[in-house]
Amino acid sequence: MQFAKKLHGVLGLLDVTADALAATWDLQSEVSGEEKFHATGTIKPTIH
Amino acid sequence: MARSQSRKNEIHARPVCIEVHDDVDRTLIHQPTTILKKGPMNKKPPISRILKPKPRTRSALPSWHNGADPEIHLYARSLQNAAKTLVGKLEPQLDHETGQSPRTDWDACPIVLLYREAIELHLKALVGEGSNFLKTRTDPISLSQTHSLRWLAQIVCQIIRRVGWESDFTCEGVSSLADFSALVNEVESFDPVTRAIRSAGAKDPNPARISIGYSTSCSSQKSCTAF
Repeated sequence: MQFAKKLHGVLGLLDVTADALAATWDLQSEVSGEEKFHATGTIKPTIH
Repeated sequence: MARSQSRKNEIHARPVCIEVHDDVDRTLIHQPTTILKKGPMNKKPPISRILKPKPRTRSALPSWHNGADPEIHLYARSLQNAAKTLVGKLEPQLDHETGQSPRTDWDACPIVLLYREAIELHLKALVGEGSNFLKTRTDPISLSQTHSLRWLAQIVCQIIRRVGWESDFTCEGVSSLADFSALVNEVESFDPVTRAIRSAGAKDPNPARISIGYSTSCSSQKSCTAF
């Protein structure tokens, strides 16, 4: 029973960690994408 | 008879009242329409948006699950729930006459199998998400084909070290990456039957002729006493 509890804990831990990794990767990708966009500097602001 | 009765239940003919103009052919009016009776099988159960997993990977790179991330997640969770239910059933049930438990050590084997499958899928999911952080991405084909918990656990440890989450990667009974690896290795050592079936299946394409060649005196006994 104790071993089963341990395994339940590990399964939960793996699940949460996978979610956290995916979120972290998405966040990093978004940030790097924005940086690239701002770093290019080829797009000039629209003048009305 | 039963078939015709069920057909009667399914099909209902009823006239349709349609407001028509004079230029419409009146033979088309009052045509019976066939509708399916809304039985319990046709009604879709409501799905909670909270419980429905969303696909994690949005990368255009090839993935080990080929886009079936939510389904695999649900499958892994079902395996875990099934294992939990079986564990509850295996709790000591003493026979009133003999005073001994009627269960045998072999009764725990399906639980080991269910937990093993669930852990394998969860490890693969984590490696699939986390291999982006590694210098060399894990090959998705190797990831989809492997059944080695040890190998998957090693990559998981590499990912956790890479992102610096060692202190957070803990739970009840697991206080370090070493504990985690030891637990996964223990689960893998419990499972001689699955390995025997898989290795036999790899050699023989006909699953009906697979013979399970394993020693009953090995770790199967160990697995049963653990629960």
